[in-house]
Amino acid sequence: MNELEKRLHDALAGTAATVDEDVERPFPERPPRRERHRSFLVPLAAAFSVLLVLGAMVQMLGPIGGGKPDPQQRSGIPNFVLAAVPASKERPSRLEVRETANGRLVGAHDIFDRRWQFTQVAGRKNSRSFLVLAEKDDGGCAAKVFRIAVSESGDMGAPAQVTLAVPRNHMISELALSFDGAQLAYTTEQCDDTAVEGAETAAFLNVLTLSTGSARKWQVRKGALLGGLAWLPDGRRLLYISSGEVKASLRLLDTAGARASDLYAASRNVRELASEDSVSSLAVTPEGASAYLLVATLKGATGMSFEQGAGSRGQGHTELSPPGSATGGDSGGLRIDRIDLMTGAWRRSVFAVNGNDLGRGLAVDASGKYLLTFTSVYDLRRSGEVAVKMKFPAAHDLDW
Amino acid sequence: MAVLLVGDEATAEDVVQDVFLRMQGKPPCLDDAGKLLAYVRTAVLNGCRMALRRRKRLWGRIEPHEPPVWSAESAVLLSEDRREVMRGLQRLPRRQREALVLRYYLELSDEEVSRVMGIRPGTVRSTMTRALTALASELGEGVR
Repeated sequence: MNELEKRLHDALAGTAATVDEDVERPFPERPPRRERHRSFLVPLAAAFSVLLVLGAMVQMLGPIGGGKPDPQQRSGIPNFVLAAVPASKERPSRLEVRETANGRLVGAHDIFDRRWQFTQVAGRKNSRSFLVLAEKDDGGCAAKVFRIAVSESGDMGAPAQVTLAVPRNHMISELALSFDGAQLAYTTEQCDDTAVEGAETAAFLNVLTLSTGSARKWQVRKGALLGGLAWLPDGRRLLYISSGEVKASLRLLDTAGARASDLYAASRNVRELASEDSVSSLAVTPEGASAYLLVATLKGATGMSFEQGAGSRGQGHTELSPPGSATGGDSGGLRIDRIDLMTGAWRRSVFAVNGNDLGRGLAVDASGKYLLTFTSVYDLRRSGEVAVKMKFPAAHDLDW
Repeated sequence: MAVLLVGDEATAEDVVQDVFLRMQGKPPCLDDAGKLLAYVRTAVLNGCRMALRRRKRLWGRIEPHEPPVWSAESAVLLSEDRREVMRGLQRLPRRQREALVLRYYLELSDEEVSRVMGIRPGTVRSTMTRALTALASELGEGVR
């Protein structure tokens, strides 16, 4: 050991000697270590993590893989249709909820009295919330409005009656619910004993704000017929068909701005209709740029007027005679036209409709991609290609 | 040993206590009871390394830390010569310092030092030689 090593040894020993070996050095106060349960916790945590990852993958892949979509979702065809079905020999009139895809009956609700019929359905877009109109079938001057909710699974809630202001000796004859369900437009028409056929009738168009209860009313000129109510998406402008003694035309009413109490003066003309055409239903697209019309052409008809709505006295639909039939007009068939609401440009026969039942059923879904009729669901993005062939029995009206 | 490696008694006590607490919580699985001492030495050496690493992280950004054992405050306890040697030892690289402490304080053989430090005996010898040369240089004398 050389000098350096001796110095190092001495320094190390001397430094270490400064530490008192005999002094008591108790362990510091520390909480006892938790017992480790890795043996079973680790596999449990791993299994939980795997389940979490799998769940997330299922959630992500569900919509991609065509998992069950949310009913009434904007991007797909609404799952359910609510239809007002007339009475038959076996049963009274009733409301039916059917699957759009296959027509399967999901739920039904019979009307409270066989003398009454459900005649109209007005749906709030994308919400499965409806107002339905029931009319007394025996010529009585009575109509009732009910609120119906359909659940995500298609279950129909019990109808709840909605009380609307109706003048004495009038009855409600048309309903239209705005896109957001905030505004209700309805027409009333005189229906007492003085309202005999051919006589002048008094009718009113009413707009009710459901949240506040505030209402406005416009008088329909005597001799004029009113029908085909359809809201634009802004919940302010209302499209309707005016016919009767005047030339049939498509008109637009600004319900918030119009000051005149006379409906004809308060509204503006959008487009006059051809005399041989009868329009039974309107459906405005969600963006409000255009509207589809269900049109029946009656060959040989002169001064054809709108045959539904005010003045039709509860007839939910008009049967067109089959070709060659001796009764009724000579049917030229049904078609769906489209009108550009900005320019008034009219396009005939966007697509033909099968069948000869001139009902009310015409509705565009909330996405604006599909058009519902009694016979088909049309894909509007694909030039009216039939997306679903409907299998509904005859109905007065339907909506989704 | 811990005091010589970390430079202050409090840190050394913490290191050793930690080692014993860990051994109490989870006793080492040794095939030979005679290896327990070597196990403790290695555990203390590792603890000292961690303490020095933490200290370096803590003090490296502020100012060099001068442990009390070889600081001026220890002059009342240590002779000037011993303090000079300890300050020279402190300036050596970690591995050389550890090798010198194990050899000249614990008086371990090359094989025992290699087992504690986890290096080969040949590496121990070369490290020892370089450490003595470096220490002599620090102290201003040649290796005799």
